[in-house]
Amino acid sequence: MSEGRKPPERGSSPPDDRSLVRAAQGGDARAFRALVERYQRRVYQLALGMVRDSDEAMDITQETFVRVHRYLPSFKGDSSFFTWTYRIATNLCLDSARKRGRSERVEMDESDAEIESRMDPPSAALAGPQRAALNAELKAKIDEALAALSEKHRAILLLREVEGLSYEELARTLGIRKGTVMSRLFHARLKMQRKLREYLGDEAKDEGEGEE
Amino acid sequence: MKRRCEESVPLLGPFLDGELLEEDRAWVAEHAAGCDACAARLTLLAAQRDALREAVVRRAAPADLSRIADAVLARVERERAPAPVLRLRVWGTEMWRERRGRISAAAGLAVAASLAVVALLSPFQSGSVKGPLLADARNSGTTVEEIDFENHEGAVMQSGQTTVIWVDDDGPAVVR
Repeated sequence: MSEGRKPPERGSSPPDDRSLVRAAQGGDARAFRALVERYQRRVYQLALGMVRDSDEAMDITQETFVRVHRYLPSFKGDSSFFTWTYRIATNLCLDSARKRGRSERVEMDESDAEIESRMDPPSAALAGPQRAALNAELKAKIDEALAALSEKHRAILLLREVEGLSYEELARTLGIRKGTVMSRLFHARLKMQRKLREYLGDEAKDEGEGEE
Repeated sequence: MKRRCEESVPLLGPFLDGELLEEDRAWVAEHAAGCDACAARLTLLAAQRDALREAVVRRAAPADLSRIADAVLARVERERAPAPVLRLRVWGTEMWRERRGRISAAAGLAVAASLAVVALLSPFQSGSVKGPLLADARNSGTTVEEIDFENHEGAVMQSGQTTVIWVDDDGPAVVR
C-alpha cells in the first residue's frame, strides 16, 4: 500500500505530515493533495468499516478532506495530523449513521456481577490443530460480526485493530479519556468474540459483557 | 477460576497492544506462559485482530480512490469562490452606482420605467411591497422573472437591451 503512515525512507524521503500541513496552511495545493493521497485509503477503510457501503464511504472520505481543508487554518498541531483527520472522519461516520436513523445498538448487557462467572477460557476449539481452521472461519465471519456491533464499538475496533492507533491517539480521536479507551476496547473485543461465536456455532461461554 | 486470571483478563488486550507498563507486561507474560486459558485468550485476541485487519483491507482494496484528491480540490475551489448571492451583492452595488446615470440617460422610456420600479424595490423598501411593485413592472412592459437566491429573494427584470437584477438586501444591478 502506498498510502498511510510509513516510516521515513532514507534518501528521497517524502516530506513529513508536519511540513505538508504547514505548506497546505500557507495555501500550497500540492501539499494538501499530498496529504489527501497519503491518508485517503486509511480514511476510506475506516469509513467503509463503519458505514458498510462503498458509495457512502467514498462520500465520507471526500467530505472528510473537504473539512480538513476548511479547518486546516485552525489546526495547531496539538495532535498529529492523522489523528485529527480520523477524528473528523469518525464523526462524519457517526453522523451518517444517525442521519440514516440507525440507532446506537445497545446490546443486552450482563451486570458486572455476572462478568466474573463468564470468564471461562475462550474456546477449547482454539487450541491445537483446529486453530488454523477456526482462523479461516473467523476471516469469513468477521465482517458480519463487525456490522453487528454498535457504532462506538465498531469505531474503536477499526481505529485500534486496523489503523493501529495507540490508546493516547484513540483518546484524542474519539474525544474520550484513556481509561474509557481501555474499557471500551475491552468490551468491544468481547462483543466481537461473542458475535463470532454465534456465527461459528461455538457454544463456549463469553468472558464478560458490558457497555463501555 | 484462578484469581490471577481475573486480574489478567482485562490486561490481555493492552498487553497485546503494547500499552502496559513494563512491570505489568512482565507479569501478564509470566502468567500467560503458565496458564493455558489466558494463552488461548491471547491467541483469540490476536487472531481476531488479524482477521479484522485483513477483512477491512481486503474489502476496501478494490476501491478506486484516484479521483478523490481532484474531487476534494474542486470542491475546495468552489467553496473558496464567493457564493452567488454575495457576488451579486458586490457586483450589483458597483454596477448600479457606476452605470445608473449613463443607463438612465441612454435607455428608453420602458427601461426608465423599470428602473423606477427597481428604485422602489431598493433595500430601503419593505419586502412586503415586492409583489405589487413587480406587478407594476410587468404592466409597464418589463419582463420580470422572480428568483429565489436561497436566503434572498430577487428578480431579474428585462426591458429592451437592459437587464436589471435585484436582490432583496442589495441595491439593484444593471447590465446591458
